[in-house]
Amino acid sequence: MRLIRRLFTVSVLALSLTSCAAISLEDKQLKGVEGYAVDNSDLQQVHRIGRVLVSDQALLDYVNGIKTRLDAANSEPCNCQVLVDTFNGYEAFTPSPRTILLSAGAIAQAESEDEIAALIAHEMSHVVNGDSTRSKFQSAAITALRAGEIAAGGGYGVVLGDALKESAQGLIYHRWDREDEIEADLYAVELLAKAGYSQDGLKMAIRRLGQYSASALENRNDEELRCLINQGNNKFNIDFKGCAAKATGSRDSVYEPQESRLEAVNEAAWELPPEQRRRRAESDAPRFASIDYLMNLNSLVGSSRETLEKELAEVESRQIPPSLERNAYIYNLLAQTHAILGNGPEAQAYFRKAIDGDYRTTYNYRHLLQFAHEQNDPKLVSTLINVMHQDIGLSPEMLPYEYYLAKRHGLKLVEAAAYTRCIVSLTSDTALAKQCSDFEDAAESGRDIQWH
Amino acid sequence: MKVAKGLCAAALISLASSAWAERLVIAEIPSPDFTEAQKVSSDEWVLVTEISSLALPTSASLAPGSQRELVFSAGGQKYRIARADVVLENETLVTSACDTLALSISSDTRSASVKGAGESCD
Repeated sequence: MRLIRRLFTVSVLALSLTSCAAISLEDKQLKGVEGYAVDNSDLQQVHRIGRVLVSDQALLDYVNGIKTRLDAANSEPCNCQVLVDTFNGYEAFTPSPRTILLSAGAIAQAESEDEIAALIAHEMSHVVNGDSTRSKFQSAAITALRAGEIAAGGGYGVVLGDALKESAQGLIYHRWDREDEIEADLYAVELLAKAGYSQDGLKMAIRRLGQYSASALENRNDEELRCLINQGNNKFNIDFKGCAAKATGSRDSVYEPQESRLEAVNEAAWELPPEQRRRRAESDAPRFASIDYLMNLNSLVGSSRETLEKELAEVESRQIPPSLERNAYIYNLLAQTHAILGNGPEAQAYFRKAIDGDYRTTYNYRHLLQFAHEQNDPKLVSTLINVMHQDIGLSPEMLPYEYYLAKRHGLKLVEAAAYTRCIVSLTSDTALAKQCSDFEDAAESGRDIQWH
Repeated sequence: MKVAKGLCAAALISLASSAWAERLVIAEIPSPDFTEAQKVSSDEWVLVTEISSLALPTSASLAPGSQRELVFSAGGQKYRIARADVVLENETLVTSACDTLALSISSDTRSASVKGAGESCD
């Protein structure tokens, strides 16, 4: 990683001199395709998690064609569009009431058009029922609770704050989310039947999500949470956070188990006329060069050095499809892989391609800001922070870095804004507030911070 | 002689096709009370709970010309059943979260499928 950090002079200057003017909050047309205007906050949200939207006209027309067919059968059409991001896992989500996002991995692994239709129909329920909007209200309610509690209780409140957060998350995942997910599945059963799709796609989608979720949860490094800690001599300490987590089950699962979802779907499908519930999926999901290319990148996961070199050479021998030629996700990944292998010039070249692409992600700004800091260039730091806000929005992940850089380089306005956000984070994310505090100490004592 | 040759060819074809036909094992039917199978001989639909001779696990094969239906035998009858209605032994339906790429995952995305997939993989 050190190699990739070192020599970005040309790229950084190119970005600061040319790209800033090109990035505009008003420009909501998805670059590289026609007819898809994207809400800027949705776009920023995708970039914050290191992904980029796939600008493949044929792919977007295909998935939105499915959505149009579903709309035609629906009494309440969805005022939304379907987009696809570069992520290789099996996912679908709704960042706002205007956007349904499918992952490249979901498109690649769906066996039939009916399965893709099922994912879209499920997400349409979240849009129509305002679930994504509701979740924001729920978050706001939790923030208000915590703010009030901290104000009333001082230090004591901070201790209970973690417990309250666990409780709130537990309630969200185990009551609201479960209800929403089952409701969305049942909505999809009805809509798929009306639109002439099979129920088989929905069943396979739920089973795939269940298997994918299980593989993700198996690898989650949750610390062991204990409610009562035995001190010996029959004395026990109570860990409020652990007790809350255990009581609410907030760590047990992320989403509704597939068994109960399948049961609910099968029961609902049973109520359909026989010809609808017995309908089989007919159309295979078509292949797209962009999706095939993205899935092939999975070969770069978890390999020995020799294998990684071989797989990287194989990936690089493939021509990048035109729809991905300006996609930063591809170049970031190739830059990162080369950096791991110690190939500095190649890593740098790919990184430059990434920042010259249509969009940039958190990964790019972390490296660019580190470089600007190491160059001791306050103007460049300030410019990059402004451009970053337009590209990825106000990122909680980058906030401590902004605060640190503002203090180190004497950027008073940036510092004031970052300080305010750090204070607000006290009520919603104690870990982030702690990182702000640690970085503040580092800046004031002139210490370096860990960038990666 | 011609008959013998024909029989021999038929036997070889039969052996070859059975070797090529994918042998599968149905391990579970998740919602048997709401799952139907279709008799191959008569196209009649029956609830799987009404197939008294059906014991799981049972072997099956892909229905001819279909990737989405399986055929299994029970009580001397052959039945078609949707692939989506059965769990196969050792089935892998999706690429593991740890075998997919994630340069960065943050916690501020609300996903309807899975949150933070792959974020803790080695």
